[in-house]
Amino acid sequence: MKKGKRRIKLGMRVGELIDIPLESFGDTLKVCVIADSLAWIENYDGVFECAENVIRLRTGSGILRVDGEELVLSELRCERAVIKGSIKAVQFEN
Amino acid sequence: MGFGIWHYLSGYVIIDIKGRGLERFVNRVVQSGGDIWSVKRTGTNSLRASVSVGTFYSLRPIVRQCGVSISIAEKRGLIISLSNMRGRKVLLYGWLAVVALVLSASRYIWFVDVEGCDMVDPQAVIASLGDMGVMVGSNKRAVSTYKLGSALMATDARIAWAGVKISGVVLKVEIVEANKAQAQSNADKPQSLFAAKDGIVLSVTTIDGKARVKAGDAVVKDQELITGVIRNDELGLITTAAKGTVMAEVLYTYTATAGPMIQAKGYTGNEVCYNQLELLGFILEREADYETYDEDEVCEYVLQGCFLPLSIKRVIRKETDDVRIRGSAEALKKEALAKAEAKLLSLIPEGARITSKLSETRLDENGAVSATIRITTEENIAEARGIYGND
Repeated sequence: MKKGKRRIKLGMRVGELIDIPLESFGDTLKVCVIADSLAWIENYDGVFECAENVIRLRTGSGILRVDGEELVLSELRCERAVIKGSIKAVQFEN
Repeated sequence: MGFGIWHYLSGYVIIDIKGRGLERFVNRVVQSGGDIWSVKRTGTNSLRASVSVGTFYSLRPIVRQCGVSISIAEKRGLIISLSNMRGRKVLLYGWLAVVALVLSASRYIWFVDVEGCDMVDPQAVIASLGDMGVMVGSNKRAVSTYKLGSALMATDARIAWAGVKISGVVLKVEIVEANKAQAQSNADKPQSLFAAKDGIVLSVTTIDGKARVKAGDAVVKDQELITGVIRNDELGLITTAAKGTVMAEVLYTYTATAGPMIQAKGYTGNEVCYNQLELLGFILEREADYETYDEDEVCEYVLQGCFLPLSIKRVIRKETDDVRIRGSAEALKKEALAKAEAKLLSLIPEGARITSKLSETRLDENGAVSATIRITTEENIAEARGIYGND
């Protein structure tokens, strides 16, 4: 195992023990879905595909796929992306 | 929401991006620290996005690298609006002048509102304020609201309390009036209460002094009711300002005569007939032929089968004039009663409660009608005067 990943795994175990949020360790992906109209994604790596019915983002855990209608990337930062629209499904493509 | 306002204030452009590698373009912009949002697919090879003005100027190398083309669809923002109005200096200066005018006008009082006045005349309160240098157009900073309230109370004994406050450009004056007993209590010199009218005493309420009458007594005008002279065993005679109320039953009587001739409306004999048009509730009026007249409708024609609701009325206009005629007994009686009632009501004070009213009429020998009305009231007949009745 690489040292970096080993450190992250150890850190995550310590974090779990002392209840620290997991997304604060390295590039852990965090997805928040609010109702069916807003998806908040933190620690993503880039936009893979942007279409009206599907938006795919590159993440450390694979490709995150958001299906829906009239999807818009309403906010794009280095560490955060916000998708608005009528969200039908959020899934990982590994 | 704050994000959107910030973008508007700093200005942004909506761009259309065409080509392949659109996602790569978006990723490069984000990685370079550019501000990009509302990314939306508009076609197979096109995207629409919003970027800040600063980001737009730094897009050129990224556009070249990704092999896309961009075009501005729309410019938005306060900076954009202001730059569009660069040539409209009069509009800008006009707005500045309006804002300056509103700001300077708001430093003065433009309205005076007086509340709570029943017996006290609001105009008298405004006049008192004017004497103190506070009026429409006065500077708000020069008005001391606390001192004004105390000063207003000193101007009229009927004002028990006065409050002044400034609300915007309105000076609001709130008045609380004193009732009669309180007005009497303002007196500090010795006084006694005397009867202002004849009556039968119903109740005596003595606040200060000694009552000289009791319920059931018949009193005449100027009779002493509550004396301010009190006999004290140690000090002998002492004087005080007598205060209280004496409720009594007072009888008012008045006789008025009407007739035999009365003023009534009569026809002179002059008349004219004409047609009056009415359409959709609007009536086409004819110019007045006489100074005073009566109109009677003779008949009406309504236009049938027409989409407009038009009607024509045949009207007869008769000239009238005031004439003196021998009045009928009924009319004379009515007039005499009205005269007597009007006179009596003017004599009865405002706070009096009417308990009974009797009226009778009589036909005189010359044909006139006399009407007598008797009204009984309950009212306070106590009147403050000097200690021995001298004012």
